[in-house]
Amino acid sequence: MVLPEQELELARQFAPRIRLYGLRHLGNEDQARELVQEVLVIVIEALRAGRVEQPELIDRFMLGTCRNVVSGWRRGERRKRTATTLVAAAETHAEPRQSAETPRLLGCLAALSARDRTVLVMSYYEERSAEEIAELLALSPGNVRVLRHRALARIRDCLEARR
Amino acid sequence: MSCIAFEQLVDYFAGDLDEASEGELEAHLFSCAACTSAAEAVHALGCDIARQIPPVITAAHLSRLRDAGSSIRETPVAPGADVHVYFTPDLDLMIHTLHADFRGVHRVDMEVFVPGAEPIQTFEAVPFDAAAGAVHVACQRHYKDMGYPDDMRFRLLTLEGGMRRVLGEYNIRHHWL
Repeated sequence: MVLPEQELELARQFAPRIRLYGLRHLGNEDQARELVQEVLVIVIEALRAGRVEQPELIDRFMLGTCRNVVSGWRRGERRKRTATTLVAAAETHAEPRQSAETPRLLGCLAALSARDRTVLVMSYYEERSAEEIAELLALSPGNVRVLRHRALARIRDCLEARR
Repeated sequence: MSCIAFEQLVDYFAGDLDEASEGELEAHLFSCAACTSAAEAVHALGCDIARQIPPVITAAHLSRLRDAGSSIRETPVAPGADVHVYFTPDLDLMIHTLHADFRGVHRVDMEVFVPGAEPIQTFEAVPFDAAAGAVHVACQRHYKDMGYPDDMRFRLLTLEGGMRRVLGEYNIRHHWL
């Protein structure tokens, strides 16, 4: 299947954004990828059929479609679409992401204060909410969020410095 | 340069934004390439952290690692014990299972130190298996190059009414092969 250049460009532009939406609302990479396929097919079909009333506001249409699809999935309405061409097109121009090497990341984690490290471990390893962490550490949830921000910013800066 | 603050992106992926703020953020993400990149970086950072094996793991995590085929040697360590552990080339991970009496304990902290010195590292509220009386310390190969001494003491403690109570101390001597 050959896609017009505009549709390829649309896929490249919006695939990362749909993926992020999927990661936030669906929680895993596989489902986020499925969402990318589903949404791109729906939107491109709608564009071809002239059903997008304001093509200049395509970003809002994309987001609205994401919301509708995820809502539908939660209600049990799920159709598996095959849109490998679209997803492949979107991925060809994506920058491959370099994971932080383990020793460098662990070095940065070790440099944190015990409290900062605890909040990160509980947030990202144990996937606890701010409320759960607050109860365990006798803090307020707001305090936990501030600690989480600070700790993650320190990790980010440390990784950057060690690059 | 992102228009959305780093802190907001962290809160977004943690699900901590209220509905209105989340909606606004998403609307902006869908219209802004720079913020999309920034959001990807924040999400990726969280993933990188989550991908590591934490220094203390739950029994369930240990079980998953075994099921995934990791080569693991587990060494049970009683309070007061002085043990030698050998990280041989065939191993992916060593688990030091520190045993203690956790009856009535709601939170366990762990200190790692060289005897006679201040703790090198302190870990607050570590996962512990109260029924089995165990804390699973995940000793990973890359720790060897991080400057930790080979001979270390681990201390498990709890806080009761603001007072520290030591649950156990354990000497572990690491041999990296």
